Amino acid sequence: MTNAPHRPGRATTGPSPRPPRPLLLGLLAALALPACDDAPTAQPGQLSEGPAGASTDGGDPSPLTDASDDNPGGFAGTPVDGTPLAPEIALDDQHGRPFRLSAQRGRVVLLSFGFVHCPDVCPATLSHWAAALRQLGDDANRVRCVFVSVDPERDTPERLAGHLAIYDERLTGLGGDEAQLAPIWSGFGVQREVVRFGDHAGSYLVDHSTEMLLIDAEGRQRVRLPFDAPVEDLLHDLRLLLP
Amino acid sequence: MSAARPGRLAWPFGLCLGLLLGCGADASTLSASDVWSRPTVAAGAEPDLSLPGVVYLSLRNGGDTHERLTGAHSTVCARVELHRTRRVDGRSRMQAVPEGALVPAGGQLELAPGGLHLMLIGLRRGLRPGDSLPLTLAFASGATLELAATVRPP
Repeated sequence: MTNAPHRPGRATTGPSPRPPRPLLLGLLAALALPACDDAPTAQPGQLSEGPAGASTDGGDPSPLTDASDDNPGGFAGTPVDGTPLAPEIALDDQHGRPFRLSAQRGRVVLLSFGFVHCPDVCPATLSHWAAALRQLGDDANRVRCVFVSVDPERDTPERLAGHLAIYDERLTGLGGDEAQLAPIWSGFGVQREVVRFGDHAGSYLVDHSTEMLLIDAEGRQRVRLPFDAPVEDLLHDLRLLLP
Repeated sequence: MSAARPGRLAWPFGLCLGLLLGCGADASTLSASDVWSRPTVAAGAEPDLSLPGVVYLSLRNGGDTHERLTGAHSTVCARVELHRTRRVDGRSRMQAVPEGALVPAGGQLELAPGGLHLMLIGLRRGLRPGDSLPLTLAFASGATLELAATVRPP
């Protein structure tokens, strides 16, 4: 036994090990392309397990279909119907400083729910956030990336601080006890469920809603993106919303 | 994922040679690439060893019989489990995959963010960018594959 050969330059492909489904991909591509003409990096294949196919209504490829009705802002992500005001979030951040979502007006807020012991999903989100902040340069001052815990039992401020520091010191981590967090989860429609695994009493994961939410500078919920939305999509939608 | 990888043009030659000289018939049909992990600790910080690690990779089966990835172990952690993230209505559900995952004859198996991944449980040290961690994959056929995963920058 030895190491196997590495093949340089081979890109890691999409999240699913299953073969692509050409029909669905084709439908998604047909829907996505007219609405994303200045977002050449939109990759319908990455949404193949996500919610993006919800509006396929028979797959009529007619060019008269006005895809912009589905996405009036030209976002890479999915626009939030009615752009409701985001519920308030008032918690201490990972450094013990009080945070209020309503005090973020004038900035775009990128919001996601997760937990520090999350091995796969949350790190994908956080690494893309960090990359987006780096690429935004000075515009990053008008963006606030906020990670809200779904794991009050383990996500102490120290853990949140240590974990977010891996990615970018500008990320905001919010935790609290379950009584503080539960109204926020429900306010944003976040579902969570603790799932034990293995034979260790302390071994559990938290299944949770993983979409990111973009909140505009007026505090309105505008766009949802899958947790692993490409950095280019994040940048595209952030820039559309920057005040 | 869009993380850049350093060129590893020097790797394949030495590794192929090793494969030709040192391998049994089973393992020589299996190869891995893009074997990578994520950091679990920030630069200069003390590691929190309760946190899990993760490894992603791309497996190729050059043989004419199916292989099944059934397990893995590493000296950096107490145990390694194969897990799969499934997405349902914007929600992610993590499942252990004790039955393993098929690497079809002549085909590939991708372990990538948001899908199949190896979860490292009970880390013995923090994982920092640039670290290399040893990993042995086990297959139902009895084949094993020894790899080194590189911890990529966050």
